[in-house]
Amino acid sequence: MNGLKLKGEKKRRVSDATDICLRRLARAPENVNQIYDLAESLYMRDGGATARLSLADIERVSEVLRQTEKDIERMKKQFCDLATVEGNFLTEIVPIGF
Amino acid sequence: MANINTSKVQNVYQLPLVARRLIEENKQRRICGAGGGNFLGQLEKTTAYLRWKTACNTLVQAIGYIESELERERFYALYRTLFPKEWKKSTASFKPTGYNEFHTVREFEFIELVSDRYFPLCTWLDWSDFRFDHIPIEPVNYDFCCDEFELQDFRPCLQFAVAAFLWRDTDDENWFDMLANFNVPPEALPPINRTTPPYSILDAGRDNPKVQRFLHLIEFIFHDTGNTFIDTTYCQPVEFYEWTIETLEKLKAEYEAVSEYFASMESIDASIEQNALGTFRELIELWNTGRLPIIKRRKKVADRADKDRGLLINILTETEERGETALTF
Repeated sequence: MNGLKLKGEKKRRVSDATDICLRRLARAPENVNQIYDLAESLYMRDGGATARLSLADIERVSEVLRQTEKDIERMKKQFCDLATVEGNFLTEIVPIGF
Repeated sequence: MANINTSKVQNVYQLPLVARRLIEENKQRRICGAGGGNFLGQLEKTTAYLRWKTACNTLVQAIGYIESELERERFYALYRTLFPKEWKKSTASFKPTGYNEFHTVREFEFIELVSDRYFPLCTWLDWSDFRFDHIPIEPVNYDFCCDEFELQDFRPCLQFAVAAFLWRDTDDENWFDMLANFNVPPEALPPINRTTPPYSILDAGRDNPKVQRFLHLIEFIFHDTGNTFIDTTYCQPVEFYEWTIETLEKLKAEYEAVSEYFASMESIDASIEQNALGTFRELIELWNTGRLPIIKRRKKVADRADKDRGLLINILTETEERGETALTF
């Protein structure tokens, strides 16, 4: 009985993780644009007049960046795996924008 | 459960309010147009923007740019938190100078404040050529193993301790030269007969100021104090300290503790100036046994007391020979 319960929990955890990955992937363009927008906003801001980030804000932005970097790595790996399976892709000349 | 996961996913990419406000302001600026400025100024701004845009055209590059700006913001946030009054008064610019493209004038102000009020930041590194991800501290000790130095340039206690306990070569020319400088004949000193001092005994006697100052001296020459400013050497991998309030406070406390070690060395130097031979013997005794030369010291005190009083007569030896009870006046 316990074994079955554990198995069920594990299955749910796996499905939750997949769900998170899929949702992240679905939101990827939005997140990427957000990163570009933030980079440009930081470049364009007016030195003294702008609102400053607190240490907590900095940590939160850093966390977003870390997550994005992880996603990029994951996508790169998926692309490389796909290229290997398909066999005809030349990864070094495909302009994937990474 | 599903709801919690969904909110987690949404929160993962949620930028803080201030960052979202920055983005919104930038969008508004774009819609309304830059405005103001002459044609040449606008043109220069545009070319600078295009140059930045080409250097920031992939997601990885954009992340790198944001990270570098966050480091700048971190300095400002630390400045505001640690020196709020100075931050309010400050009129320093938020732009890098022509001389230094890596730090803004305001950042430099913060760096100087840390150097003045917390601990000295490394001065020989070129701040105009590099941005330090970690706090570059300036060690107060010497690299006894790798640095090129003359023994006689050190303070007296270090001259003796390095020669006696670090190099431990008492047949060496340096040893004889060093002792000659203090007018101490080498044969007047006991042999140094251990490779390391008995730390357990010494630690037990740490309450005694003379043991304490000896331990400070030994820990200093062996870079074994636990204090970053004393233990760090350039010939070993340097420990990295992040720019956080906790680290800055910790390093400040450690820098303040450095003075205890220097006070101990000053005390030993003063003793050497008064009586070099006696002090060197004391240090060797502590190294060999972990204890101060107690018996000799007690005898000295007793002798002095006899002399002062002039009344104490001990006839112990005589009575012992006769087998009678000792009479003491």
